[in-house]
Amino acid sequence: MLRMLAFAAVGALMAPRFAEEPEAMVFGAVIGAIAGVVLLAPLRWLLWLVNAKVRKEHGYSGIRKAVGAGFATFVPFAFLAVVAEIGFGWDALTPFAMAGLMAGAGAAGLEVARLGGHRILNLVIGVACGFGLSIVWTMVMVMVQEAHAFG
Amino acid sequence: MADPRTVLTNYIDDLAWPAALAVPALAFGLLFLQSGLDLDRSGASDGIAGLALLGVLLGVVVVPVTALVAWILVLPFDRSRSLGWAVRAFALAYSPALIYGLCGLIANIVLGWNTAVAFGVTGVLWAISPLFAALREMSGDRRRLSLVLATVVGAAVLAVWAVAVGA
Repeated sequence: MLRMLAFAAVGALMAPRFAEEPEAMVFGAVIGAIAGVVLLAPLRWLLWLVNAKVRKEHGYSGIRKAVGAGFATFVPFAFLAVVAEIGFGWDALTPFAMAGLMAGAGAAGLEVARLGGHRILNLVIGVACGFGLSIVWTMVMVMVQEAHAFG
Repeated sequence: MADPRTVLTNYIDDLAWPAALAVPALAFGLLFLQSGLDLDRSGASDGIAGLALLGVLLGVVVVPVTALVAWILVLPFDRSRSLGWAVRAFALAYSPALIYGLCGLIANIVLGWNTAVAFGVTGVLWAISPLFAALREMSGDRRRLSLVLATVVGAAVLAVWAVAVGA
C-alpha cells in the first residue's frame, strides 16, 4: 500500500511536466500507481526465472512478496521528492526517482536472496533492473521536456 | 551502497567512533563546499570556507543527534544494539554521500558545473538505503517503523542543508 502511494506521489509530481491543468495531478497519480505495478513485473519475472530453489520452496507469491518488501525502500525517496518539490520548490524529481528506483530494485534482489537465492546474482539482477528503470525514467523525462520545448 | 546490511552486521564493530564520524564530517563538508562554490558562481556567496566548515560541524553534530533520537525511539522494540553501534551505523550510512561529494567537487572545479544538488543532494539521498538497513537492525527488523524513521531522518538532513545554505 505504502509503495503504491509512493509511486502515485511520484506520478502526481511528474504530471505538471506533461499538462498544466490541476486534474492532471490526479491522472498522474493513477498512472504512477499503475506504473508501479507494471514496472516491477519484469524484475519479479527475472528473479523468478533465475531462482529455481526459491521458486520451489516459496513459489511465485514468495518472490512477489520479497520484491514488494525490497521495493519499500522506494518510499522514503518518493516522500523526500514531495518535500523537495513542494516544500523547497526544487526541480529534483528525476534524481530522487532514479536513486529510489535503483535502491528499491537492489533491495528487492537482496530480499529474494534472503529467501535462499544466490546473493551476488540476485543483487546484480536487482541493480541492473534498477539501472534500466532509471534509464527509462530519464528517457521519458527528456521526451516530455522536448515535446514541451517544440510543442 | 548495494548491500549495506551485510557491511553493517559484519564490519561495523571493528570501527572506532572518530573514524566513523569522519565520514559524515567530510561528506557534509564537501556538500556545503559545493554549495558555497555554486553560490559564489552566482554571486550570492557568504564565504566558501565558512560554509564548508559549517558542513563539517553539522556532519559531526547532526548525525549523532539523529542516531540518538532514532535509538531512543526503537528502544521499546529492541535493545540489542548499543548507542555507539547506532552512531557508527548512521555515520557510515553517509559513505555514498562522501563518494558523490568527491565526484561532485571534481566536476564543480574542473568542469565548472553547479553540483550541490546534482551530486551533493543525490549523495545524501543514497544514505537512506543504509539508514533503513541500520534501523532494521536496531528495531528487530521492524520494516515499517524503520521506513518511517529513515524517511524522517532523510527529510531532516535535507531540511538542515536547505536552511543552512538558503536553498
